[in-house]
Amino acid sequence: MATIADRVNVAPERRAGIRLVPPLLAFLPITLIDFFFFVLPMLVMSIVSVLVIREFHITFQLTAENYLFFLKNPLYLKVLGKSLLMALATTVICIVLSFPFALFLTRLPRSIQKTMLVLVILPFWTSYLLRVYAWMTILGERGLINRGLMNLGIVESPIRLLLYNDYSVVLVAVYLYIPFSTLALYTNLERLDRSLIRAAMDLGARPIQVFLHVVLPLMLPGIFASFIFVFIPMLGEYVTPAIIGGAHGLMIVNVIVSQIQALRFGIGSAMVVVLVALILALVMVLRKSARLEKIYGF
Amino acid sequence: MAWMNWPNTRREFLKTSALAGAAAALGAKLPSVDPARAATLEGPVNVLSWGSRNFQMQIDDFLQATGCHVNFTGASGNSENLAKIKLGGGDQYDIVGVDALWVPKFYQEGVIEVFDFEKMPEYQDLFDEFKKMTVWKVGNQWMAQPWAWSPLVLWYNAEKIKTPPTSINFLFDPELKQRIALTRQQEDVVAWMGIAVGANNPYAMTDEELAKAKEALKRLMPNVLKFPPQEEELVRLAADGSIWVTALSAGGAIRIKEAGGPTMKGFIPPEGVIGYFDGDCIVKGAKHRDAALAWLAHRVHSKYVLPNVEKYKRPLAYKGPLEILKKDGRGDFAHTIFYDQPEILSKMVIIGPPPNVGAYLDIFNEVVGG
Repeated sequence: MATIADRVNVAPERRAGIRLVPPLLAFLPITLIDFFFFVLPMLVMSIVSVLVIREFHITFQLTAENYLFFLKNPLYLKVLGKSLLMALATTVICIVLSFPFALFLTRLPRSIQKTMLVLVILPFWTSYLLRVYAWMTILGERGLINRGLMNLGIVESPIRLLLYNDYSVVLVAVYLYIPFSTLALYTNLERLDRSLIRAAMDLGARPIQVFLHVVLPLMLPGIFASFIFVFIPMLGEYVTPAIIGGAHGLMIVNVIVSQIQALRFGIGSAMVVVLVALILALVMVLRKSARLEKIYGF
Repeated sequence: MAWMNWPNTRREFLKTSALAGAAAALGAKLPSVDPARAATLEGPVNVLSWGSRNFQMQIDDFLQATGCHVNFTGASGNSENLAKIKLGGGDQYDIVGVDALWVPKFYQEGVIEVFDFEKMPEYQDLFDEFKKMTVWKVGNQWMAQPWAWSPLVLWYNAEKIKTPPTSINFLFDPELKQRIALTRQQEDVVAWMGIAVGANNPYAMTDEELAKAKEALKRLMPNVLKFPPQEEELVRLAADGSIWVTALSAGGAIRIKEAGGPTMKGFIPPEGVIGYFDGDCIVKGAKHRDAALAWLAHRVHSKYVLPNVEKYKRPLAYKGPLEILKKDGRGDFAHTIFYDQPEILSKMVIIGPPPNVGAYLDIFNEVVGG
């Protein structure tokens, strides 16, 4: 069986270095991190979600009440649906906007590519919160856009629709997450075998056919990675909807936080479990449909 | 549960405290407080409290006087504090900051312990309204050392709203479409609506009152631009003209003006006004109890309290700084932030955990998320 080092094109002396660490040991740190920061908290949440808890007092009595409260309440399902929709919209927009840019990047000379990639990740050098607040100075009543429009005489009073609604939340989220989808798609596109595109065109395929039948299937790992990097954190967004969203700008995590703050740990935990289960199911379905094993040749 | 009855106790307390007032404050003499009396204490003092409590210089002074460090962990909410203290206990925290009616709740949960605040010289500097407080006392022992207090005044943009409001119902005026913002404190928002519909106790509404409050919230929603999580956000929204009405503590107008905003005027609805007072409690089994008590004595010295009042622009529970402000010819400032009107305490509907907090949350979520 080929080792990881055999599969990766690295120098022999570095391969030896890799061999020094037994594969199981190499996985230990990430396994421990996953266990302590994901599996264990989820386990606790799962237990809490099926117990009767009155404020801080746990009674070891099983109940489905917490799940029923969430799943039978049309309001909370509506908020969950809205959150899924907003996460999906953000993901799709990020992928659609990233694709041409990532393609453009791969066509640049290597040295310029590196500079451009630094520019892509440049926003990460500033704080997340600062980047969210920066949009308020752009979209706000006295923001850049409104001042510009008023100075140009296009509008008489500030446009109030630019901020504090679901659209502005998606807009800011796209800005926040687009570097992730760009990097994922760029990595994929860079490894794309261009001879396949040329072959398809030589065989008479039209550009749209080349894109749909050759490029898109080969891009699935990149799209899948983009989905993971954008959809999941967006579904768990708390700060952006709270700052940029309007009076009705609740997303599912805001609701979960409010349940916990109201000491309804059982209901909050049930919501978390449902949300995580939903995300895991989505990832698995996507992974299956993307047939990553075949694409990666595992 | 016993603490469900506290709103009644609170009302009793407020009624009794109404008699005392600014006169007591005016006549009060500053106590000769020796910050950090203790010579060398075992520390550090671990504090879980709100960020607006203390300045670095007083922490430095305390270190110099006692050899004790003070470690601060920022608090974000009473329920979260309660959870943290339950988990960490006296090994992890010595002091916890708690709001008004949450204090008895903490005591009932067995996470804080009473202490003899009245034996501290700093006690003499306390406003009489606070001295008469029964809700925080067990016999002569105190559950918390009082700190700040304030009504949540309804501040309105005087440049946009020309006719001064006369009732809380002005919030429902269609002219204010998307011009109101309130902090995302679900039970407070519902309590405001409780005041609007004439609920007997806005923090312990009956099902019928809650139904009315829900309808009122529905009527209010078209006028709400957003429910931001932080007060600072309200200041910013009012300053840039996005909103014309908001509920902020005493110095709201000054804070908005300083942020480059318009002239705001305060309105205390005759139907009632929400307000708070808060304090610091000694965590049960606190590892560094002596040092924690020394810190409590140290932190309320006028030398530190005055800059705190000036910075955060809301009154504190101590008279000393008020005297200094008056002597310095800054009585107007003190008046603007209600510092010289402690009798307002008796008119406030004190923020607290409703016994049926889940019902409050559901109403908020149903109307806001719907």
